[in-house]
Amino acid sequence: MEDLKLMLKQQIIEALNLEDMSPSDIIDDEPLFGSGLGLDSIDALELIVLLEKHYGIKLADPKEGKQIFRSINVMADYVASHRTK
Amino acid sequence: MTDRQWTGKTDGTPWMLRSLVWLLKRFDVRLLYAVMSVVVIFYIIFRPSGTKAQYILFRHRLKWSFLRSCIGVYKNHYMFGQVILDRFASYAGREYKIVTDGMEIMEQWMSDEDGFVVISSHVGNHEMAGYSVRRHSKPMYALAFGGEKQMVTDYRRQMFEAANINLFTLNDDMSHVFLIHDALSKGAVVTLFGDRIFGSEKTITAKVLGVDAFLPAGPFAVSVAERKKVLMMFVMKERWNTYHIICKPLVNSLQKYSGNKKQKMQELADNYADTLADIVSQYPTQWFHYYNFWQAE
Repeated sequence: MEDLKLMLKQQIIEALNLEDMSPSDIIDDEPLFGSGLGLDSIDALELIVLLEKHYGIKLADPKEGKQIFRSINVMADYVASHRTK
Repeated sequence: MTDRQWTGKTDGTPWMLRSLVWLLKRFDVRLLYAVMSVVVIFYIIFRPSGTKAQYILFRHRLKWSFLRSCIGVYKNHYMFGQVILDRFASYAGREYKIVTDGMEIMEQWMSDEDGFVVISSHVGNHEMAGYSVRRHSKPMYALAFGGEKQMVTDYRRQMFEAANINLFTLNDDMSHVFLIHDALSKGAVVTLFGDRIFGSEKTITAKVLGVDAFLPAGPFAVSVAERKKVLMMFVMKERWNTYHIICKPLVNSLQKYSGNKKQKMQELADNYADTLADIVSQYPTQWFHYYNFWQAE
């Protein structure tokens, strides 16, 4: 699970062009949107594409998406149990 | 919300707007243009921020003389009034003559399997495209400002349905993001605005008429993230009964890219800003940004 979290952080940094950040700057249980990492709707699109491209996960329900993108911990749990590749 | 975020909506109560449609069903739109030619003077006087924004365009960006700029401000307000009346005349059933330039590109892309992004702008009368393009089996999803009056939205929805265009708004739950992704994945078309910031406050700086302006990052980010090509569409008023639809592909969106996304987004934004400036130079009185558009101001 720790490897998956690290991989997710690296992929998020790359997808969102967070050039001045390293994986250790992203706290596992910190919110990704709003007060935590400060991501917004444009970044949400990148995360949707990221999950589809790397893990074969197609997100279609906004409510579910909002839950999954709560933090790295939640995202990693979801990826581990739903990935198809 | 920044001061560059758009919060404008159509003036008037629902009763007044319904009455306008009633009038336009019975009278020639040119009669109401004549009334509008007087009404806009009050807007110029009592909405100084909009007047100043237009003056900056003519005097400082296009380098017109003081007198010509003042006349330009009046002509711009009058043209905007005509465009609004034309929208309501369309709701009332009036049809306008449409001439096109580059429409064959859109037709070609519509027949392809892949989806694409259309970037509209607040110059001319972008809505008129929705009332004029022929119906395709490929659905289109057009971003609409959520703060608009329900009655105006209902009219638009009704008009757009005929062309298989579905309106969507930006929502706090980010459902629009899922809609955009789903639509583009299924080969549909998504229409976004390239020149006005609403929703995400992320911006890209690009030179429009030689001066830095904040453009919304959204449309360019969507194109890059989804790897979709982009078509710019401008709908300009030529004569009282004629509109000119101009379609131009965003050239660098056609090239495959590998590398820095930020750089790619900047290239797209620069290409769009150059085209927008060309259009404004050709149709200077059809620039409908009544707020602080440039960073320098």
